Amino acid sequence: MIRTLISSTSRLFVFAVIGATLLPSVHAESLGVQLDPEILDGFIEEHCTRCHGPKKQKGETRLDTLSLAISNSDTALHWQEVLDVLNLGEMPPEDEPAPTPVDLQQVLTHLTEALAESKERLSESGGDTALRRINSREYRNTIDELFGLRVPVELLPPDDIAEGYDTVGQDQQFSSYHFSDYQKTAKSIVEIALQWVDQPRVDAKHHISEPETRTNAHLKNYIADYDAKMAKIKAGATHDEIGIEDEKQLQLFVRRYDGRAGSRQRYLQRPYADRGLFLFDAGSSSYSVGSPRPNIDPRGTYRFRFTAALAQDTPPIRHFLKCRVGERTVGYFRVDGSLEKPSIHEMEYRAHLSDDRAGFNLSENRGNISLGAYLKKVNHKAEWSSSIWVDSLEVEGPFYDRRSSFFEASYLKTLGKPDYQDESQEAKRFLVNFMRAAFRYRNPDTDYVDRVLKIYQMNRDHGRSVKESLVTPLAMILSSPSFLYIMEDSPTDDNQSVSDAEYANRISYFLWSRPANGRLLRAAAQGKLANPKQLRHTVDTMLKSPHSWALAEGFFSHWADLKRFDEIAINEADHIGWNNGIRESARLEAQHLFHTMVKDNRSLTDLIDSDYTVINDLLAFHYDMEPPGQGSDFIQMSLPPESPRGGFIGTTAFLTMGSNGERSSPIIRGALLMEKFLHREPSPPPPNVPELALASDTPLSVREIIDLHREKTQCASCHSSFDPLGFGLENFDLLGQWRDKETIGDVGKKNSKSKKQSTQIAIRAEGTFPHTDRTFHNLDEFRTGLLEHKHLLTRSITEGLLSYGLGRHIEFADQQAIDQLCEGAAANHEKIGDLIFAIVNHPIFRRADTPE
Amino acid sequence: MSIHLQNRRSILKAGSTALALPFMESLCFGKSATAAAAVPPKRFLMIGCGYGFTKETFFPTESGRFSDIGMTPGLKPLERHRDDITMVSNLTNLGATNAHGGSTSYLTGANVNGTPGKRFHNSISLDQVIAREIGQDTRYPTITLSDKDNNDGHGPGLSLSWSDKGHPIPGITNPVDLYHQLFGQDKESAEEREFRLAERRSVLDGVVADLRSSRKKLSKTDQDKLEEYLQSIRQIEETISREVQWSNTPKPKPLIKQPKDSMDGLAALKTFQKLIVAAFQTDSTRVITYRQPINSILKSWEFSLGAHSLSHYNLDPRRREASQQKDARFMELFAGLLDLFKETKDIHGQSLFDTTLITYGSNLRTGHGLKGCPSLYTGGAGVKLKRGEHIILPEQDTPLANYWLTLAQQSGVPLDQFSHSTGTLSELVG
Repeated sequence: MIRTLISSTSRLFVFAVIGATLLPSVHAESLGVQLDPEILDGFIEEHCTRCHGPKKQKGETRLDTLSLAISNSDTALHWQEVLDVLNLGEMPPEDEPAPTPVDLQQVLTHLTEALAESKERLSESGGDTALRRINSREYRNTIDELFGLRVPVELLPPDDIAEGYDTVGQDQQFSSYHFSDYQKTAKSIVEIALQWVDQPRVDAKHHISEPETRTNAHLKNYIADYDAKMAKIKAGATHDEIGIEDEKQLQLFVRRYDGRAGSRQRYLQRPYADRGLFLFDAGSSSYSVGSPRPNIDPRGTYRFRFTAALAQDTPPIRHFLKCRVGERTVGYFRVDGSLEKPSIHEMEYRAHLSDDRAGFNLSENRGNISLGAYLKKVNHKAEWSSSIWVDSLEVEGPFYDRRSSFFEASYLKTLGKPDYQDESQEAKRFLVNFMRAAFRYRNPDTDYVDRVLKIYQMNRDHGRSVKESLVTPLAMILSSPSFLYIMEDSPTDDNQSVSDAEYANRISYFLWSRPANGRLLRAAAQGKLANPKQLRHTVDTMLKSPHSWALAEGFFSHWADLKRFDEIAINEADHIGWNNGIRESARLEAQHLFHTMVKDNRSLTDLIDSDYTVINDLLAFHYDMEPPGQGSDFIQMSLPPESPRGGFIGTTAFLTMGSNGERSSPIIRGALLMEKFLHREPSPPPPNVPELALASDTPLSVREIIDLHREKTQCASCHSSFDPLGFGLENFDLLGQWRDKETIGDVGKKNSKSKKQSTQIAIRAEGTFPHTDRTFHNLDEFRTGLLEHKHLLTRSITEGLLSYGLGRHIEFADQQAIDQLCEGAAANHEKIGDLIFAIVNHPIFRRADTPE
Repeated sequence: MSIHLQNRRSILKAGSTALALPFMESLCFGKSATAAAAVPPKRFLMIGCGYGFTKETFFPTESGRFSDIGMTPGLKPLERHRDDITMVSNLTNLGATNAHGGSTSYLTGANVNGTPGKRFHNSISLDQVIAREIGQDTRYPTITLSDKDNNDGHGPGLSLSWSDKGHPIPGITNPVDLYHQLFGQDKESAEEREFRLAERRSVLDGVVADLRSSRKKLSKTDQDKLEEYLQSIRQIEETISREVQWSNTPKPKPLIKQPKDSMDGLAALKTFQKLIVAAFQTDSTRVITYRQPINSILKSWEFSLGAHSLSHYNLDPRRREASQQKDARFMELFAGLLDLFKETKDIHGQSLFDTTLITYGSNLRTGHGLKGCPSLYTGGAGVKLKRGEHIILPEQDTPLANYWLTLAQQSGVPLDQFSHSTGTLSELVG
């Protein structure tokens, strides 16, 4: 109990640092929230009890006896009603004295925060981790571990609706739809795996295609055909004889000669048209070019190579190629060669399970609008439409950079042997082996084994081949609870820790989102993970591995709310610098930044400010920086001191997420900064707050609009704390690009033909940190101010990592462990690798659920 | 066999007008034809629209018959149905707290965020409750349709429907999938089907064996968590039983052309409307919910603003104008759906409209407001339900669950209580 009280104080201390004094206190014993009588009693006495008190209970409502301890959802709902009528301005009624704005704001803030807090408290589970199902990312990585195959995201059932991390079991649900989906997914994986399981690994082959060959032949045929018809017409042939509808159409045909055949002729005579293909200039089939399409071995890696050049003088935004495999974008290339000296570009690509005969496809990266409109918007002036000329597309592969998978090896030792004595014996060995690996080396029950084998036999008896008969049993294993759920035995000893193997799996799912591999399980069995030195070595090695990308893809994407970024829709006709290439690259940039921090054990403060950024050539263009120039790869680039970039807050992903899709939104940015960097999540927008009517005839600046809406007490009660923060990043527009001025007047207009007056006004990146007098006047001062609050960022990341790693929500009882972890991090420059190790090494990470 | 020929020919000949033809006895399908002969079946269609409407121009302020009080600009497109539609004011979904969640608990009334030990908790939706009572005689107890957009104001969930355990039921989002469900013929032989179903049963028994043996080693909380898995297997067993039961009844012949594979926006919505009518017409189901898309429709109409921005229409006069247009256009789509219902006869030669209860609404009234949610109903399933007027309930924040209970009871579903209902609404019955 003493401990709880201590941590309770420290939690309040956290709030106190940013100066908030109106916070509800957490009621430790009752899992509830205590409202502050000093704030509420006087207010209710003065404004409410005359009608809702001992004498009268208008509307059957009595407030003087309503408990200030919110310990159940009925009380919470009752207070929510009070908040609603205050927000709506329904109470006090007009003929009663109105509360002062200051009093009202204090009450609104307090109630809003207390109700949000009580929602959390009322849903706590006492620190137990609910059994959890592997999520989509873990499923894909687990399949990779077992089969050596890469499953595309689309093949999997989507993860649940959850406000927490995708590892949190408490939020997961399972319905019959899940089961059917898992079965279907498993079946398609298993079918492909079986198809390739005994195929020999072949030597890599070159497949080359010349994009101009077919196109030019097509153009020549067209011209020849036109010429032949023209000759006949000259010789006096009628429309019927040539196959044209009527005389009128025939005249048109003759008149169109130059536009149709002539233009094609001119294209063919253009220098270099005989050697490669000018995108867009040879008709609609030249909008993209495809590589050869060999039969892709899903176990292999392929190299894709092509030659390209700039076709003519075009704006630099048009110098980028998008490369796709099927529907999947795999990279962006910046073209800088000339026709005289074209450049060669190359990338490596690891095949996906369902690639089949997909080839590589190149097209220009541009906004999703018609070509004509696009050329006009980017101010394209050259004679032809093309910007890029492409030649020689070459696919080389497969290369096998991995040993044969567990699945292959196991099959070749049993049913895949050239001759075996007893099929059912081998089938049993194969299937039981597979079960053990799939179940993370927990032994399957004999009854279960028998049932699986029976289904195999049933299929054989039905006349199906060995491989066909394996499909259902294998798919069944991959839909069984022991595979889908990460199971841990109920603790039996006094230690209350999970077993070594379970600990290894916790670590592996935390850092890599995949089951513990043989090496880690062996280390666990030898007791090496109990030795902090050896554990440290293991964690370091794992963090440096490419597999730690899972932390960026899983933990960071959720912490950073990248889903929010994905949901922002920006009109690509209005914002010509915005396109899918920027969107996809910006998302990856944020993840690469975090992955770099993890791999290099960098300080968490890199999220606020870093002297490097991790970008590809396309983003370098977007940010007006020197391109890294290493193909489609993301490269760590150091930033010059005067660069405004650096940190997660300097990325397009963060800045665009802080917009409403039409313009930058200091309100959203402020709320995001508050939640992530000051570790204080603003309450969600409360229902039943009346809409603002700001219809104004004169165009307003963003700052004016925001100032206006804070004039209303109901809004100000929350917004006054975080709106001013968002102005620190006002020099970045909605696309994350730097600006000194903002344009006001025609924001969000679809067709701005009627040029309404639009004005340019200077940006003022000024504001204050919440509840302090600390002000800032530009981006630098803003960053410095955030850095002064870095302990709050540390806490935000620590709680996040712990929740993600343990697979449960952080609860009140965890505060002590979090205090310790944060202190440790603060003493060590907030290095993220060290923090991750400290979490893995903390008793809380090994703690098993409470036994009965 | 001449019957078959007749079927095919009349449908081929009729093409799209087939919808308007009465169904002959020879066109009846499955057991529903005989079972339903005694009591004409009732049908239910519930549509969820996500974000609400423009406060100033959509909601009528006076009560009374629409023929007397007139239609508001937002409701104007429903003019031709004005004597059939009813709007009910002063309803609030008491459990709803999510200011962006018009649909999450729309049909459940659950207090989604207020359950101890759970961050998110929902309960069974009305359509599933109704299907328990009347869903036995059709191939599908219910059909669930949904949008695939984000940020539409629907809130968490995969459709309007939630299972008895409060789990989200995924909706069909692509018209072609619904088409296959209704009309797709499988080429499987009887023997193959028998094998497939037997194999499937063995698989289910097998995974349950794994569940039982591994559960023993787990802690109590974890054991509970596995209960969900077991429940889902039980449900699949039920669907297998139904499949067996229907396996010798061929699916009806298609009433409309097979939709294109990838359909989106307005085209998808209009195709879904036709398929909904066809599903009822062929008696493939009697209960349908549809979480209607918004953003993809706005895109089809070339609106530059999304649904959320439009819900904050007061920030800008152009937004407000767009929001009003949005209201009217959605009502026009709804009016078109009602036309289809009125044109179509069911297997007994009765108008489909007269045997169906159709509801349209959301938890969200306007902007972020959850009080006084928009509630429209129409159709003739409940003979005594008042039609053609705007009813203002005497109590503000009358539970939405009371509305659902009243509509269901009046339409012949024997329910005593639903969700947090506290009674029925006599104001709706005349």
